[in-house]
Amino acid sequence: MRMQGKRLPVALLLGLSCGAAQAEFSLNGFGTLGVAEVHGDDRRYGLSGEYVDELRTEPVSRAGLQGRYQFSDSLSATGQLLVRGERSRYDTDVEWAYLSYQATDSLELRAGRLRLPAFLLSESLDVGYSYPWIRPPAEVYSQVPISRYIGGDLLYNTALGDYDTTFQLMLGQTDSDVFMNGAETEMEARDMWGASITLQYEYGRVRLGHVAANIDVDTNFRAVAEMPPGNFVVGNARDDFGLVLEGLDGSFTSLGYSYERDNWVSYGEVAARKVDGLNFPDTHSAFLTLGYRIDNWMPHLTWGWSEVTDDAQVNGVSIKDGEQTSWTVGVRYDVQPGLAVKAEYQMIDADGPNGYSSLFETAGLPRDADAEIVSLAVDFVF
Amino acid sequence: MNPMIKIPLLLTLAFSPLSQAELVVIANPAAGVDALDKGAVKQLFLGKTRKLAGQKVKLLDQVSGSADREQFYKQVTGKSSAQLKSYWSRLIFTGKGKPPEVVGDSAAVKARVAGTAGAVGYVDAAQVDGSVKVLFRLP
Repeated sequence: MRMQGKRLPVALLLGLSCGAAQAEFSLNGFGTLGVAEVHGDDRRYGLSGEYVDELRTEPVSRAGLQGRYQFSDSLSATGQLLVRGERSRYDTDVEWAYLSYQATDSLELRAGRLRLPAFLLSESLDVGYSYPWIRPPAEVYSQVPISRYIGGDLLYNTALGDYDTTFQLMLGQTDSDVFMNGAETEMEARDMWGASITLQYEYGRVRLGHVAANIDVDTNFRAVAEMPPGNFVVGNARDDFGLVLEGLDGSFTSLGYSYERDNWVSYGEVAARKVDGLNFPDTHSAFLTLGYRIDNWMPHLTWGWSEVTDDAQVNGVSIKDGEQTSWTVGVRYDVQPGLAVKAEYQMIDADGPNGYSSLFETAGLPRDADAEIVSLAVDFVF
Repeated sequence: MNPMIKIPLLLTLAFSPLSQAELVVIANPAAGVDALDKGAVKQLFLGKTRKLAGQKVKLLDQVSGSADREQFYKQVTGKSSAQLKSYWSRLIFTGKGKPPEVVGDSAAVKARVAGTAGAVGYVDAAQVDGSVKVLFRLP
């Protein structure tokens, strides 16, 4: 099976003739199909509580289709439709929809619906085939529930010595339905801005990024049983057990790298999250991955860690110094270009002075939690 | 050819999977450059540079799975086909680039390079004639 991006002459596709010399359409797709199961005292784990104590496809499965239409050498339109598993269901969304204008050789301007550049891997977050794990380490990658925004950015590329350097500046806003610790939440982010610098060198890249926004949150829990667990407090509870918070300043800063030389592969990222008030904890988080390629096999080991750094509360109890640590052993097997199989075993431990359940879903007060997760998946791109 | 020589030659061909073609990077004769070093070829074929001497480059690739292709990328970038696919998937789905157009075998690449301004590809050195310009010989 040999799959290439299909390039169809647009004249053929749409019967148009203007600009046909340059114009072309390309279609590419990617996906991860898999199953995962959590073993432990607690029923659920994950940002949307997507991991449960039986094999389910939602925690690790998603698929995307991306079309790109090149109007001319400098102007293109890109759209990406993404189907993604969440708590007990699948959700379909337009993840990217933007126009790109290459103003000069080194300056690109983009406008539309774009990925929020919070993390090292933000823009390829769902393309499992492009990284070693089945999903990027949750300790860092669950810290920002917003994945996209509406607005624009500029990308400036230049060479700094041996480094191919990209500066990025973004402005925008978003209204998203996101999961915060198992509870679906309406989140509005205004006055969003972000900046990043990426140094690309022969064996990898290093990226420093910062995003900030003013956030309004409106949860509407339909029953006490749906009240959020973990590091989220119901402070200003409404009659229907909802929670409304307005005007919270939040920010996220991350420093990450990827490295690939000879048979060695490594990724690492450290991050800090700050949000006004005690409803959302301020956190520090980090992960480190080391992998070694042996022909088509790549065994890898990941350490992940996150810690609550302020006096955030859950049901009136401070969860300061609550920590989650995990170790993951995994293996990736490249069946053929465009197709990989992965298996992972993860041990997760959450604890803190007053009990801390982190991404685990526990009823009532927080308490220490630990569990193992087993995941299997197939990744493909075409 | 003497049949006595023919047999060992056939055996050599059949039993030496490591036997390699001599590959060269070629460009349309109108290209603004006459030679590239290995680093520049690598930058081009990993999508990091898109222009040569101010002229936009149209990169051409041989078909996936071909021996020439495996050898070319292994020697120039150090990456296997699977690693390259992973590399390009990140660029494609972040809107940061697209891989060279796949044209076919050495003969097909040469024909397209000869007829397309700005085209650059890699072919078996035996294909080279006056219709294209050699920019780099793989060691």
